[in-house]
Amino acid sequence: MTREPDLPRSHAALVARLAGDARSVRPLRPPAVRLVPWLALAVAVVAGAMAVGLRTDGPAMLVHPLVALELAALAAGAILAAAAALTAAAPGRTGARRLARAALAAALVATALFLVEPTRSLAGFVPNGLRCAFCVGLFGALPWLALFVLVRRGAPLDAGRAAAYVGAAAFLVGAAAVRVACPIDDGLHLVAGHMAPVALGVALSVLLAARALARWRRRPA
Amino acid sequence: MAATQRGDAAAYVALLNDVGPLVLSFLRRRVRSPEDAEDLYQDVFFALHRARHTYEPPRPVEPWLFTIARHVVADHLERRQLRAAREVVVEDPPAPAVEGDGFARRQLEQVLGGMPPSQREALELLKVDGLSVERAAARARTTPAALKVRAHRAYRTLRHLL
Repeated sequence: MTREPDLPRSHAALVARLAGDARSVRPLRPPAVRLVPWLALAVAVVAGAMAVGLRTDGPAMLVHPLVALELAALAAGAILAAAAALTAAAPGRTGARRLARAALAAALVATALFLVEPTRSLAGFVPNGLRCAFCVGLFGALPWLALFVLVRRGAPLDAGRAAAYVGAAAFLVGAAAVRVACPIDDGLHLVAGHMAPVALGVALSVLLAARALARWRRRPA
Repeated sequence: MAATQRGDAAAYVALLNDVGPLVLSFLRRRVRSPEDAEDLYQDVFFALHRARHTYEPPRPVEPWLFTIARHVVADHLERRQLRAAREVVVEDPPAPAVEGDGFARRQLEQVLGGMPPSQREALELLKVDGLSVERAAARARTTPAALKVRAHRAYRTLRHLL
């Protein structure tokens, strides 16, 4: 092993130390490939929510154009945010921020579409909102955990952003699941009880996951 | 890099030797202090090592490598800025805890004066001058083991006198 004259004095020892730990590793697959199993899980969660939900119209609600648009916007937001999270965990890949901005735009479109829904009554606004917020968290928990594991397997350079993308993707799935399960179609309820928890989920995700996602950068003792 | 991912240590050594100069010149362009650059050099290498599974073989190595290096530097600069923001520049530095004619110093001199000379010398060489045991022993013309014994006795005397 020859050492370049210009290299730091620690170079040879450093290389020897790292080479001593050069066991084989399983290469990370491209983000698009890694996204597929997560999407399958997200679809299963939404389908499960529809099956156990309180709506009486079931799949018939999907033919309603406004509802279909709302779900499409939520799904687009979730997919784009998940793609952003997986891209952010692959150094050298670009476009995570662009995907995240597109996800934010999709979430804003979903919120705007919710506001198009008329508000018929404010009776039970708070308890219904809290119940739906809890359900968004519940339905988003499994997609969150799955995406967190997928992102942690990579090397997220900006752990805070990656954690935010994970939260956005997972809780947008939660919001889509609650949209197909919740019988209340009031605009205000949908914004306060279905979309506000997504923002809260993003903040919680950053608080809970950012440190864990940054762990790979820690220098060994 | 693909061979490295398969656990080929020789390929890994060759790769690290190849990227070393690139990483170093990258760091030197961004960090002024040579000590910081050397420290960051190690950080970048550790980060490359821990992220080596994230390299996707058909893709070029450089974007992967420099994305990681850039983030290591950005983290360092951010930490330095945070540290600088917390530092307070004062016009007059605070007075030293032990003044030249202060009570504590006088008390310390009294205590040291009450010690046997060999113990006092051991304590001064190790704790006041901050020498290693070997250098202090050489200065006191004794063996390191004997100096350690003197220092141990000096601590005991000091505890007793204080």
